[in-house]
Amino acid sequence: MAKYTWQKHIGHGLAWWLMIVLSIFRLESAGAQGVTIEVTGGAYSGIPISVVPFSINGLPDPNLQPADIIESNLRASGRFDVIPEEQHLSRPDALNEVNFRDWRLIKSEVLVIGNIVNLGNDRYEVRFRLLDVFSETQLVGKKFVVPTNNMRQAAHQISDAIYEQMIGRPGDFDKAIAFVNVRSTEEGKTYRLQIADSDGWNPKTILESPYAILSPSWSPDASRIAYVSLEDNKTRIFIQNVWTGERTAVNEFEGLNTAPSWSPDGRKLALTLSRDGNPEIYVYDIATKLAKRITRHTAIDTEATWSPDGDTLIFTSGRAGRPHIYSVPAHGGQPTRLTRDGSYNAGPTFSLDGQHIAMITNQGNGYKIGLYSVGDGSGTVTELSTAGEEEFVRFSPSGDMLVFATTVGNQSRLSTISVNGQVQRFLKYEDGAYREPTWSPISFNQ
Amino acid sequence: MRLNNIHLTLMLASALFITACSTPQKPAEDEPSTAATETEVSVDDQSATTTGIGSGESGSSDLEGGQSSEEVTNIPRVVYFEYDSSNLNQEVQLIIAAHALVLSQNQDWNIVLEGHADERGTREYNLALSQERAQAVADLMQVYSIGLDRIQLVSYGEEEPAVLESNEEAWAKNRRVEILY
Repeated sequence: MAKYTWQKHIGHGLAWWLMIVLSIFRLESAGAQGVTIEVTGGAYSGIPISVVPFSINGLPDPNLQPADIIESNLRASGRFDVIPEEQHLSRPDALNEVNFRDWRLIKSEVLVIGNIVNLGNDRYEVRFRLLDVFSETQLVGKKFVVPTNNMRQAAHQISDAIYEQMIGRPGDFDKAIAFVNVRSTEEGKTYRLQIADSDGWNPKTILESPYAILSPSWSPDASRIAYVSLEDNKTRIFIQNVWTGERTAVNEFEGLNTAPSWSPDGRKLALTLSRDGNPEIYVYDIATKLAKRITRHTAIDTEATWSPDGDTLIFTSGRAGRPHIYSVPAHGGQPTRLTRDGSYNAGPTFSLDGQHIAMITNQGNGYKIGLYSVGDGSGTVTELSTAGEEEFVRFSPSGDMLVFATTVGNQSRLSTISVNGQVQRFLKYEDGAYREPTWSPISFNQ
Repeated sequence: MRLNNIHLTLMLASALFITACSTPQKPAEDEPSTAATETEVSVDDQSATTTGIGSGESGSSDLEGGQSSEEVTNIPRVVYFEYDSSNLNQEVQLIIAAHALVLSQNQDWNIVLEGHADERGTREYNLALSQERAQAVADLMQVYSIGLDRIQLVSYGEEEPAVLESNEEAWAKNRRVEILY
C-alpha cells in the first residue's frame, strides 16, 4: 500500500475557510512571489472605477489592505478600468467626506471607499461603500467583522459584491482554485493537490503523494474533488471530500482510468477508460458504479467535459489524424467535429453559459489557449496571446476569466486571463511547478 | 502478418540482437558488483509490480532455453515513437520480435510495458497516447504468440520523462515504451 499524508479538514458545518485559515495562515511578504498583473491587450475597456485605500489605524500587515486586493481582482476580470491611486484628487473614507466632483474630473464612473476599525481581540470591522459618481448615490454597502486571518477573504467578498452590482452576476473572487503542485528534491518528487484562494493565496494541501496527481474536477456543490492518481503503477480515479479528507476509489476498470469530469447534476462522472482496447469516453454513475460507453473509435478519445445543461459532452479525439474537439450527446450518439483550425486542439471546457469552449490549441505559435464560439460552424479557434506555453485551462464561474497553467522559461505557474485577452494575472507562487488549476463552482461560504 | 513472415522476422531479430552477445561486451567481468546491480530499470520500492531483469531475482535464474539475463539485455529495452503517434517503425518491430523470441523461450517470464509521451500538449491526451503506445507493443507481441495474460501495461503519460529537457532531442527520447521483464 502506498503511504499518504492527509491534511484533515474537519468542519462539521462550521465555516471551513475560517477554521483552516485560522490554523494555517502565515504572513507572507509581497513582491516577486505575490500576485502580479500584466495588461496584455491593446486598447483597454471596462467600467472606470476608483478604489480608495481603506483607512485604518494599525493595519497588521500591508498585504491585507482591502483596496489592493479589490483593485487586483477587478482588474483581472477584464471588466473594470481601475484608475490608479496617483490620479485620485482626494482620499475619503466616509460618505460625508466624498466630493463627487473630484471623481467626475478623473472620469471615474463608480467609487469604492471603506474603512477598518480595530475592535480588539483580533476582531476588525471592515466597511465599504460602492458609490455612483454621476447620480451621487450609494449602489451597495456592507459591513464585515473578521479576524486578521479573514481580512483577505472579506476583500474577496467585497470584490464579488462590486462585481455583482456592476455586471449583474455573481463574482469569482470568494471562490477557490484547486490545482496540483509538484516539488522535486534529490529523493524524488512530491505531488500535492492543493486548494487556494482565487488569487493563489492561502494554499492548503488536501493530498500529498510521491505519485503523479492529475485532472482535478470539482463536484457542483464544491464539497468533493475527483482526480487521477498514478499510484501503484496504475491510473486510478479517486473522489475526495475536501472537508474531511476522506476519499474513495472509483470502481477500477482494466487499463486506463483517467480524465474524470463531474456532471452538472453531481451524479455522474465522464471519464476515459481503455478497458475495451483503446481510450474511449464513458459516463460513470457514481451511485451504481456502472460505466456506459459513449464513444467507439480506434483513435484516442479522452478529456470529456460537460455542457452546463448536462446534455452534451465535448472531448478530444485523434480520429482525424490530429487531436481535435468533438461533441457527442451525453447519453451516446454520433460525435460531431467542432474545431478545424490548428494542428492540435485538446482539453476542451465549456463556459457556464454554454456559449464558449476553451481549449489548448497549437496554431504554429506553441500551445496556447483557444476560444471557440458554440454554434459557429466554421470551426474557428481564436488564440489568446501570452508569453508562455499553456497546458490546462478552465473557465471562471462567471465566464469572464480563464485559469490555466503556463510555462515561461522553466517555470510553470498558475495564471488567469480575461476572456477578452486584455488582462493576465499570475497567481501567488510559492515553490515548485504548478499544474491543472480549476475554479470551484461556488463559494465555501454560501 | 503471415506466419512465414513472422518466422523470418524472428530469425532476423535474433541475428541482429541475440547472437551479438556471443562476444562479451562488458570487459569488467572481474568486478563482481556491476553485473548484479547495473540496470536501466528503475525499481520503485513502493511499487508492487515492477521488477527488472538483473535486479537480482531474475538474474539468478538460468532458464531452459539457455538464455541468461546478459543475453537478454543486449536487446534494446526502450523503443521510440514519432510525435503524436503510436506507430511502430521497422526497427521497433524487429526489437519487439527479438524480445518476443526470448519471451517465447522463457514462458514463465512476465512483461511490463511502460508507455510514455513527451511533454507537449495536454497531460490527459499524453496519458492516452502513452497507453496506445504500450498497447501497440503488446499487440505486436501478441502476433508473436506472447499471451496478453503475461503482459502488464502501464501508462505514465508525460509524467516520467527520460530526459528532463525541453528540446527536440529530449522529446524524441521521451516518446517511448520501456520493455521490462
